[in-house]
Amino acid sequence: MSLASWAGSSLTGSLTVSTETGESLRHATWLELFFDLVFIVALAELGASLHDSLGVAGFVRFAALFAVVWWVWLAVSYYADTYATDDLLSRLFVVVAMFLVILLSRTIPDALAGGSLAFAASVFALRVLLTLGHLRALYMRSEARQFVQYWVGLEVLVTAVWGLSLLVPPPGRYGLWVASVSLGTAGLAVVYLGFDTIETQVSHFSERLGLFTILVLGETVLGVSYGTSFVALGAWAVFVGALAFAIVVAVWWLYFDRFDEQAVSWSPPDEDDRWLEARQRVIVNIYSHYLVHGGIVAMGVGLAVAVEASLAAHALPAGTPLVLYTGLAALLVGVALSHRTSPSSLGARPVLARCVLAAVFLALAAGWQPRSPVVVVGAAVCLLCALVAVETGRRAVTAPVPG
Amino acid sequence: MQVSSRLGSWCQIPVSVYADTDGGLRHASWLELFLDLVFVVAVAELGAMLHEDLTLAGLVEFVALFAIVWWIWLSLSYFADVFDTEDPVSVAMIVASMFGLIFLSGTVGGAFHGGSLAFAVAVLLLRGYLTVAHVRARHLRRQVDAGERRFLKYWIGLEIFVTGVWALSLFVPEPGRYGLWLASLVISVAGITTIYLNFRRVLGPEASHCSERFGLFTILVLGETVLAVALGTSVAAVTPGAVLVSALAFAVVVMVWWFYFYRYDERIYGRLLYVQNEHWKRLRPRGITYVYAHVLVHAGIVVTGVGIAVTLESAFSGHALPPGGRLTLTLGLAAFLAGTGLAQWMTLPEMDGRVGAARLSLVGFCVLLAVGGGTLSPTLLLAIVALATFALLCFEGVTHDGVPAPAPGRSLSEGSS
Repeated sequence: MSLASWAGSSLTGSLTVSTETGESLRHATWLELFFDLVFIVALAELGASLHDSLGVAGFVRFAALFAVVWWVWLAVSYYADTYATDDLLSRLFVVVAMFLVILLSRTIPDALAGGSLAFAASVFALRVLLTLGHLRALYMRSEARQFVQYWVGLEVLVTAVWGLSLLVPPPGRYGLWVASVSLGTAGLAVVYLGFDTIETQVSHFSERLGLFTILVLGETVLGVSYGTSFVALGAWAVFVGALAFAIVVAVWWLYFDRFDEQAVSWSPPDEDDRWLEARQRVIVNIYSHYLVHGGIVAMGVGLAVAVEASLAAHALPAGTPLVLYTGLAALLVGVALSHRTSPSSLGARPVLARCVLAAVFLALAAGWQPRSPVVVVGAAVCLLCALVAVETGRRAVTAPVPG
Repeated sequence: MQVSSRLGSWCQIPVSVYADTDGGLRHASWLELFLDLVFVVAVAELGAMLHEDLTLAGLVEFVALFAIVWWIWLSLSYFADVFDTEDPVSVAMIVASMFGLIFLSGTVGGAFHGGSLAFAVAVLLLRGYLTVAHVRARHLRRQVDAGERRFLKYWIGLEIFVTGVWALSLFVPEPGRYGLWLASLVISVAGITTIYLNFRRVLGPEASHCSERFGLFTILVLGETVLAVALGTSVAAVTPGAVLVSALAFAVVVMVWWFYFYRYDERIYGRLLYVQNEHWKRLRPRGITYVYAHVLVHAGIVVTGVGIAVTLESAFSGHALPPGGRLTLTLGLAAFLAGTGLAQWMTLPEMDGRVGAARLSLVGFCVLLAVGGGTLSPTLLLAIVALATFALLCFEGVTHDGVPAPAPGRSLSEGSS
């Protein structure tokens, strides 16, 4: 077979929707895990930018850029979830995407400070790659033909809007970014809620979301403890370090104790008339992870600043409580939403408890400016432990341990 | 009631051997993944240490400390593979050991520079946790037969002895302390090998997920390498030349990923080590080699990562490549290839002899570059290494010998069908 015909057949012939008939769930492939680890580099850059500009303005910039980067992660990961990506071309696609992500992470620090063109160009490159991948799907034999066509059309449109932003100078460029992200998000919701027949892949997206959560959490541990020499420091700093670690463990427990591998499942539920509600749940579940992941990164930055301050025996920089507590509030809301919308729906009371605690954190972020690292981190530990105690107490020992 | 009586009942829950019910493989739990991520912090510290001290002495220090950290990781993973660690006490102990690991990462830098006591204490805490967990495992929930009881007795005895020797090192001043560390490590490795080669009855589930743990640790270490490389070179301006050099470096990382994972077999660990049928004498040595070859795999990846970072730094700053950068890049890759080749050589069906020979020649070529590549510019060295690795990859892709799984996926159904 000649190279050209091989290329032609692999371009048009081999894309399929992931359907595995095995008795168990799909699991993330090693390539997907590798891809996630590369994406963590971009998130680490975002965290580093926030670290350098603590405060309301810095936090808003972080939240905005995080939304764009997370949206790109979602788009690429969701593509790999929907279509079988075991063929050579798809793997090359992922490898090239990984390299583009590394380039993207380099452009993050200046994305809103004079380097917006480089950032826009690297996101555009990733979106173009993704759109090409989607165009392959047009050649796929599908029962949900119309759904696939609309979806691919949406991808092309979203990428085009982002591409336009390359030609427009900054304030307008940011506007086009917002337009592209909103269009993508809203369009996907419309497509999934508007079409009765959709592609129902055997999804392992919940596991992907869980993996990304734990990798983000691990990056937090790395950020807090990396470079800290315990030999030279006093008992006080070790204590703050232990408190920070307790927060990370509590967050891990909150998310994974109720983790549900089947939360993202497009298979039609038993009663046909409830498919709309089921899909709404899945969409909320997926997007709630923006809050979870962004919240964890912000929290990690807050903890790192607190540990550094206690190491250097300095007062806490002014914006630290804001970053730490807003991050915690975001992740609590995100975890509550994601657990509420999973099949084993979280009860109304725990959801309320989490939301109340999030409100308390937001109030603290707005109006409390203590300068002592121990006080700031210690307050968060107490509040989170109270929540964990309330939730465990309510459920007694009947719940399964995460596994 | 209840807290006290409940706590009491938790503590008395005998440990159980992990028993799989439905024939499928286990997968790593979220707690195990979390533990691995904390281990990566210690690995990152070791890599940073090597980066600061790119001399032969620095490399020797790195190898010694990496061996100790890796050995603790192996012991913890092994325990979690054999025994059920899902009761609340076990979970709490694992979380506590994670903080112990963070403490270890903070002391590892000073282990050979006046801080050996702190490092020894950190390791003792972790070993002590493991020993307590093993002693708890004396009382198994299910009935054990005489062979299993004998294995457990020897295994627990070995654990206590090894931890005891390490504890002694706290009381002995420096050169002797290092000697006791080495003794503890050697006793442990020799003891494990002896027990596995002589006891037909061992405790261990056929559905072991240790291979997956090895794979996960490999990919996390690789990810740490990507992080180090990307953050270390984020100073460079984005020019076509810089992008090309970064792409070369990234290509090396991707090929490392490929060499490990395209022959990855998630069932191999249980098949080689926990087997108790008439082939056990033939399979166990293979299993032991498979396990210990991974120290080369993981250390090789970290050293290669340091080499790539140093090479990129010199390429972007226009300086000559320091000898340490060349040594780490080439020798790290050689160690990785040798370790991966050895581990995969042990799997069944056996690797094609031509593939083995090709890998060995690339290892030799890397060593040659390490010795004689002193005049090469950083970009040229990176390009040669990338091209040579790519040639091997193409050769293996064409040969297509007995690859266990068609795709480097973690999907269950592929492995079992």
